[in-house]
Amino acid sequence: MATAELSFEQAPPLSVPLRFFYGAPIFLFLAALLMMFRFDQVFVSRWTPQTLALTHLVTAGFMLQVMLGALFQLMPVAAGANLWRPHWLVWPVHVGSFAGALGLAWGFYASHGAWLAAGGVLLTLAVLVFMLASALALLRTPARGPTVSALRLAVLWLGVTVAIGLSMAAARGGYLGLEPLQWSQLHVAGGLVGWGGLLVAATAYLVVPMFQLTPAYPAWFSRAFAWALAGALVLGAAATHPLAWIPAVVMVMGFAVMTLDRQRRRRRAKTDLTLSLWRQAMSCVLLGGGLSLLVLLGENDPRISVAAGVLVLYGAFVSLIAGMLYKIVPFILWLFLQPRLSQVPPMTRMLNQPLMRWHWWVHSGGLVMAGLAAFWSPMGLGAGVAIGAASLLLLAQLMRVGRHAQRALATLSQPS
Amino acid sequence: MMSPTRTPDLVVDARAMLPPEPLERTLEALDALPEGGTLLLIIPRQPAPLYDMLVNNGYTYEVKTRDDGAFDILIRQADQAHGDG
Repeated sequence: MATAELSFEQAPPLSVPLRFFYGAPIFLFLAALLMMFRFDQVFVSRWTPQTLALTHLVTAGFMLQVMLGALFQLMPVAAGANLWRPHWLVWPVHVGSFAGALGLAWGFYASHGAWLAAGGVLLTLAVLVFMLASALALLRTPARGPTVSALRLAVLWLGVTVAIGLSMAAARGGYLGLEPLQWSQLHVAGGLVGWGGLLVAATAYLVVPMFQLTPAYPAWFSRAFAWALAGALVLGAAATHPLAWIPAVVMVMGFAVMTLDRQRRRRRAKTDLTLSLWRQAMSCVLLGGGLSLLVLLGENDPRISVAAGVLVLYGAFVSLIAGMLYKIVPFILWLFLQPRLSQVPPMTRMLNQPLMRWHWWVHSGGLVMAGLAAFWSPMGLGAGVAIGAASLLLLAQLMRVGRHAQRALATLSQPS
Repeated sequence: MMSPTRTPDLVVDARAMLPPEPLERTLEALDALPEGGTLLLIIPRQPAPLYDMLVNNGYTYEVKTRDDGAFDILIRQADQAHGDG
């Protein structure tokens, strides 16, 4: 069989993933405000308090929200891993991760140890609850295959990332005698490559062939990639030399090449926004990965590190996530409506196509300006304005889809 | 069992369609299917949500894999299928 089967009857209640998806753009908007008002600080180095606040608004805020929401949906549907009472479980996970990410970002911004610790603890508790539930579900599922293996490893790396992050936050707040910077490479690699990269791979094996009509990833590749990448990360963590991280970076770049190759062979010539955003993301993985290799090889210019961060976080993850939200949110609402209504609005009509194209241009403009801001910080003001507008356009589109579904359902409850 | 050799009354070739267009087109085609007719859906992946919808709406289906990895899904009303033995 070319692609894995999906079991939509196992999907959680709609409100479970949607609350994460609708909340996530708020973090992107806050990140854009920070760029607008502190562009002289956020683009000069990885280590200013403002940059750390910005980074965590994007990673622990926007990215984590969408990833958790997507996993609540994806694990039962794609991996047969049914979470225990998802409608209860979602409360501590959503509230804890949302408030924890806000507290953490504020703690960094204000260099306030108590906020850092409080945000870190809340976020850790939320992730811990999610990890325990998902580990149990992923261990008990009878399903096998590359998506299940990649999901298991991804969740493991989420735990490693958050545990190190909490220790670093405690050290920064003065609660723990530890050199925070010593652990930063493992925290960044664990979060972006181990958790983010493996989750993207697990998802890509399903959604790239399904939503972009490409051939499946080669079986040898999808079977070996997650384990090889996890091994490369262990090598990087065990060795003390920066060069030991090179295999992990090269493998992620290999994944991007493989994905671009799949997309080049797609059966449908017409492009849509999701495909464009995925291609942009994979191109940014290659560019950002290339700059990361320069840094690992000893390039000390802080501008290179900042540009790599912009490319990987905004160019790769935010692009890809925005592209996926444009498919996932209408799709799960469509699936919800289908058995309930005789005339379900076509999925493509749920989104405003001209506004989506605007989003693409504003998003891409924000990406270019944020990349240039690494070399000339006033450009960060323009990046902030564009990224703020892009986050609002994304939220407006998601809300439009929700309104369409509500209107369609309202016809059911009207007396005939 | 359905007869594998019989020509289907309607065909939905969904090999170049994005989700959920194959489902939308199939459900539209089922509404237009004549009494006792068969519908052939050609699709690059197994349409899991469609299977539930078919069973819930009184249809039966038969799945065959093509050489190119796509699937032929032959659909008809469940009570008609029994008649074929």
